[in-house]
Amino acid sequence: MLFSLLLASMLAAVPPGFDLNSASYEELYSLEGLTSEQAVVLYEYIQGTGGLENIYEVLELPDFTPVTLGWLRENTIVLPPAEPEISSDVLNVMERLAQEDGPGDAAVEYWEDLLLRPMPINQISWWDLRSLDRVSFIDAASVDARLRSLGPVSSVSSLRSTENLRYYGYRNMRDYISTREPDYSATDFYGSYRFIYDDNEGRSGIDDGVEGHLSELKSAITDILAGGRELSSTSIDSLELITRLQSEYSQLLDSRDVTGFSHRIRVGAGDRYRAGARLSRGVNTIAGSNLIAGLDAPVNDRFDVGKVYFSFQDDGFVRQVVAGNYRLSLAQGLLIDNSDELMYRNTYRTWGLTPDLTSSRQNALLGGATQMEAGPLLGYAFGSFTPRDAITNLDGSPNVLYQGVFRPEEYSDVLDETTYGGYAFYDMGDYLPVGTAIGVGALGIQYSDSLNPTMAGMDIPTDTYTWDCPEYAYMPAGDKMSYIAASAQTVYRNMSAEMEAVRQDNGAWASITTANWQNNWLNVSASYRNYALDFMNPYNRAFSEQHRFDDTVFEKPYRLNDPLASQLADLPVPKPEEGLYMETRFQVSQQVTFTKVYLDVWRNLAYDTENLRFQGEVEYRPVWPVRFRLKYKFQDKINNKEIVPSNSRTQEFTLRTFSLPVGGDYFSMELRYGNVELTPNPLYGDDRSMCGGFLAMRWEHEFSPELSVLGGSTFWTTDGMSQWEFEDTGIDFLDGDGTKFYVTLKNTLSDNLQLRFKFVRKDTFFPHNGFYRPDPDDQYHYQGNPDETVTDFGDHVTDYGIRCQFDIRW
Amino acid sequence: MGITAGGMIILLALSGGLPEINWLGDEGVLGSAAAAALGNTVYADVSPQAALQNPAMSSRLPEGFSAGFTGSVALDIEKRTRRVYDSFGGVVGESEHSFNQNFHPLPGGVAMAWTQGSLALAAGWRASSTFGYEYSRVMNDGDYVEVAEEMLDVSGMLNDFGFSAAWTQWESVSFGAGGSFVTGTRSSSHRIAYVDPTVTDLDTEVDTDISGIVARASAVVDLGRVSVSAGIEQPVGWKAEIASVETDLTLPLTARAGLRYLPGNHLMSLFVADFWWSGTSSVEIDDVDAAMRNSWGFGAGVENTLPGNTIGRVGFEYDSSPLAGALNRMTFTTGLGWAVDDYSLDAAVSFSPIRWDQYQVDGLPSFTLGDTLVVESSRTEFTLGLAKAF
Repeated sequence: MLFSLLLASMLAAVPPGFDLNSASYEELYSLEGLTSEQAVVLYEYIQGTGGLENIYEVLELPDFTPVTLGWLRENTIVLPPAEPEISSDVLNVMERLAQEDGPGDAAVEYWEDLLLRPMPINQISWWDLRSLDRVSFIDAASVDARLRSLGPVSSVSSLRSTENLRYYGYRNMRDYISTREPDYSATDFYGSYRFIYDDNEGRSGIDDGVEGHLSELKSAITDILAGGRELSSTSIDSLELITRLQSEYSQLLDSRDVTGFSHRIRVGAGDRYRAGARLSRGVNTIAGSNLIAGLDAPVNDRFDVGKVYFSFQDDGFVRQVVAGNYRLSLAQGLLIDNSDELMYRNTYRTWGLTPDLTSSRQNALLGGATQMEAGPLLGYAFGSFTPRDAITNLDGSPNVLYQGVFRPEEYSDVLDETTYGGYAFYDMGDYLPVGTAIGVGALGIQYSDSLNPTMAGMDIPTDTYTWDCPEYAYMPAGDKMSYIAASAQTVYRNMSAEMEAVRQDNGAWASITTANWQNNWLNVSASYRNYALDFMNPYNRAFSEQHRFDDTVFEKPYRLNDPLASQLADLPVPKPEEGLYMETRFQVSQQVTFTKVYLDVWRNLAYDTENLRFQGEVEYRPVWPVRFRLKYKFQDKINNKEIVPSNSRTQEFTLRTFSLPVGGDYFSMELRYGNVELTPNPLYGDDRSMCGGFLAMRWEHEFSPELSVLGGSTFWTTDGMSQWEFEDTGIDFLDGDGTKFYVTLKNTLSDNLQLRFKFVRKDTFFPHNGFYRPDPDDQYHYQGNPDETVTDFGDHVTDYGIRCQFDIRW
Repeated sequence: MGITAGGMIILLALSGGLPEINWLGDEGVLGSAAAAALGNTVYADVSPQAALQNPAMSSRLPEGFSAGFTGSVALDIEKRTRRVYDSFGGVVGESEHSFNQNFHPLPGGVAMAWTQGSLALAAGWRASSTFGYEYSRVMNDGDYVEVAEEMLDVSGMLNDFGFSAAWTQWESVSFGAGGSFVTGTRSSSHRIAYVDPTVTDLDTEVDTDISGIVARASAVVDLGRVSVSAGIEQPVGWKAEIASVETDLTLPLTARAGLRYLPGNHLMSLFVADFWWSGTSSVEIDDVDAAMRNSWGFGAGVENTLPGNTIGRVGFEYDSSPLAGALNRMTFTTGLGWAVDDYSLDAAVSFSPIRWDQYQVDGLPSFTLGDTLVVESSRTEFTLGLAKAF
C-alpha cells in the first residue's frame, strides 16, 4: 500500500512519455527513481553509446538493480536511437575496387558519391547505368528495357527478375541505385570533407621513386662533368643541359621529405546544385610549380593539384552542366577520356560526364561541359583551357607532352592547351532493341606553343645506342590537332556489340570493336583493336595491353640526355597495336568457376612484332566459406633490338585461398611464383632467367559493423624479377628479399565521422657481394670519397608508411 | 654566441648529428597513458597530469580527489649508413656505418587533482623532457684494422613541478591558469679511445644545468558531444649553465588547442585531437637568434570499448621540428585500457621512426649536397598508467 502511494507520487513527477535517450543530464538527475550517481552513470552511458536499445540494458550498468529497472519501466520510455545512415560501404568500396585491372581513381570517386546519393532508377536510362562498376552494357540495357516496357519499379529488388540481367550485374548495381524521386526544388544542404594524409619514411621507390631518379640524375651529371659523355651540339646547349640537370637534382632533393595530403570538400543543395574543391600534394612531389598561374601566394608552394567545380542538374533537356574541373569518358574512350590513368585490359569503363576532384593533373579539363538530352538525342559539349606540362628542348621549346610524378619547374606548365569538342548519340531504342544507338564526335586541341619533338632533345649524341623509337617519332608536332569519331552499339537479348573509330587530322585511324554474350553462368567477350602508329590522341584511354612508351628507350633513363624524361614511359596512352582479345567467365557448378580466362594476341605496330598473353583462373569452393583460386599467366613478348629482336617469356603461378572462419572474420592467403626468360645476351652473360615469388597473408576481424581491424603480412624473395601485390587499397612492388606487415583500422564513429588508418612496415634486403672490379677506374666507392672502395656490403631498407583518412559529413 | 650554443654545435660536429637531443631533449609523457595511446593528445586529455598542461581541463575531472601515475620505457634503435656509388656516380645501395640499440627507463609523472563545485586544483611532477642517447662505433682504417673506439653518452632530464587551478564560470565554460618550475641537467660525454697508445685519447664531458618557469592559461567549452579547449603557455626566465657560466634562453609562446568528440555509438567511441603551434623562430640564446623555424604539430586518436569492456585505442601524432624540416617526425600509437571500480589501468605503445640526411640539418658536417651520412632511427616507447578517483 505504502509502495503504491510512493509510486503514485513519483509518477506525478515524471512527464508522460519521458524518453531516457533524449533526456538531459539535469532531467535524469531530477528523476526521483534514480540516485545522483545512477543519473551520472546512465547519462554517460547514453552519451557514450548513442542510447539504450531497450530498458533492460540498464541492468548492465553498475548499481542498477531490478527495483531501479522496475521504476524506470513504469515511468519512462526508451525510444530507440537513430540508426546510422552512412553505409560503411564507403570505406569498403575503395578496397573492393583496388584490384588487379581495376577501374582507377576517377571511377571510384564517382561510385563513392553514388553510395551516399544513389541514382533514381526510375529516372535514368542505360546511358547512366553504364557508369557503374561491373555492370555490363547488356545488364544496363536490360534494366532500361524493363523500365520502358513495364514502367517504374517500387523497389530495387524488383529488378532482380529482369530478363537478361545477370545476378552478378544486379548485385553490382543495387547499392548505387534507389527508387527515390529526385526533387529539383529541394534545397537541403549537405556536404562532406575528406582529409587524407599519406606518408612513408624510408627510401621509397628504389627504381621509379625519387631515389631512383636522383641516382640517375647524379649519374648523368657526374658523367658529363667527368667528360665521359659528349654533350649536345654546342657549348651553349651543353651549359644549358648541365644547368638544367643540376636544377632538377636540387628540386628532387627537396621533394624527398614531402608528405602527401589532400583536402577535398563537396557540398550540395537538393538534387540540383553541387560544388566541390580539392587541394592536394602527392608524396615526394615537387610543388611550387604554379598551382594557379601568376598567383604569388604560399598556396602555390604547398599544393600541386587544385581543382574546383560547380554543377547544375536539370530535368529539362539540359541534364547536367559542370563548370570547373570535369571528367568526360564516352563510348570506348578512344576519342575522349581525360583520366591520368590507363587501365590495362579493362573492358568496363565509366561512361559519362562527372565533376572531377581526383588527383589527376596533366589530363584534367578545366572549363565547362554539358550533357543534354532531347528525346532520342543525347549530346555532350565541352571546352577547356588549362596549362600542360611538357618536356622541353634545350632552346626552351616544348618537345612532347609529359606526365610525371616529378615535375621540375623546367617541365611544368610549359604551354596552355585549349580543348573543345562534343559527342552526340542517337538512341534507336524505340524501334530497335533498347541499347541500340549511333554517335558522332569531334575533338579539337590547340596549344599556345608548337610542339617540336626532335630526337636531338632526347638522345645522348655519342653513346653506343642508336636512337630507334617509332612511337616517339609520331608524337604530335605543331600547335593544333583534331579528331573526329563515330560509334555504334546494339544489344540483342543477351548479346551486345559496340564499336568506335577515330580519325586524326593527319589521316591516322584508330578503332575498336567489342562483342559480348552473357548469362548467369557464362560470359564471353571479344575485342578487336587497331591503333595506327601515327595515331596519337592524348585523351585516348581505350582498351590496350601496353602504354605507348612501354618497352622503349624511355624505360632506360641512362640513354636519355635528361633522365627525368624517362617518365614519359608512364604516358597513359595506348601503344600502337593491333590485337584480338577474348575473355570468358564460366561457372561450371556451385563449386567450380573459371573466374576470368583471357587470351590477347596483339602486334606491336611500331615494330610489327607479335605478342601473346594468356591468363586463366579457376575457383574451387568446397564449402561456402572457403574458396581456392589457382591462376596461371603466360606472356610472350618480342622487343625490337638493333640486330635481332629479343624475346621475353613470363610465367606466373598464383594460388589464393579465402575463408570466412567465424563471424566477421576474413582470412586470405596468396602464394605466387613467377619467372622470366630473356634472349641471352653475351654482354650480360648467358644466364638470362629471372624469377621471384611471395607468400602473403591477410586477416580481418570485425569487432562490430562500425569497427574492424585488418592485418597483413608478406614474405618475398626475388632473383631479378620484381613482384607486385595488391594490399587493401593499392599496388605494391616487391624487390630484393624482404618482409612486410601492415595494419588497417576502419572506424565509423557516427553518421558524421569516419576514419581509416593504415600503418605499414616494409623491410627489404639487397645483398651486394663480390664486387670485384678489375678496372681500377671502375670501382664502387663510398660517398664523398672515390678512393675508399667497397667490395661487399648488405643494404637493408626499412620503410614505414602511413595513410590516414578522415571523412566528415553533414 | 653563448656557451650553450657553442657546446651544442661542438657536440653536433663530434657526434655526426644528434639535433633534438642537444636542444631541449625528447618530450616526456605529459599526460595520462590513455592520451599517450591516442596520439599524445595531451590537450584533449582529462587526467590529473594533463591538467598541469591544460589547467582548465581539471574542471572536467570527477568530483573529489583523483590521482594519476605514469611511467615508461623506451627502446632506441639507430642506424647510420653511407651511400655506395659506382664509377658513373649511380647509387648502388647504402652500407651500414654504425648500429646502436639502447633501452632507457623513463619516468613519466605523478599528479593529484581535487574538484569541488566550480573550483578545481591540480599539482604534480612530470619529467617534461629526457636526454637519453648512447652511441659507440669501432673505427677501422681502409684495411678493416681497428684504430679506435668512439663512444657518446647523453643523459639527464628536465623536471617539471607544476600546479593549476580552474573554475567553471558558466555551466559549459571553464577557465584555468597554472605554472611550472622546470629544472634539470643534461650530461654529455664524448670519448675516442685509440688503439695506438701514442695517440692521445679524446675525452669531452659537458654538464648543462637548465632551469626556468612556464606560465599557462586555458579555457574549455562543452558543446554537447563536442568539447573544445584552447590555451597558451609562455616560458620565462630560462637559463642554461655550463661550468658556472650562465646563458639566457629566450623561448617563445606556444598556443595549443584540443578537441574531444563523443559520437555516441555501440562502441562508446571517443575521438580526440590536439594541435599546437610555437613561434620558435624567435628563440634566442644570449640574445642571439638561434636560427630556428616556427614549429607545429597535431595528434589524433580514437578509442573504442571492445567486447569484454576492454578499451582499445589508436592514434597518430605529427610534430614539425624547430631545427630542420628533415627532422619532422610522425608517431604511431596504440594501447589498451581497463576500468575496475574507481581504478583505471592503461597501457600505451608508441613507435616513431625517422630518417634524415646530414646535409638537411644546418650546422652538421656534410660532404656535398645530397651526398652525406644517412641516419635512420626509431623510438619504441611503452607507457603504463594508473589512475584512481577517490
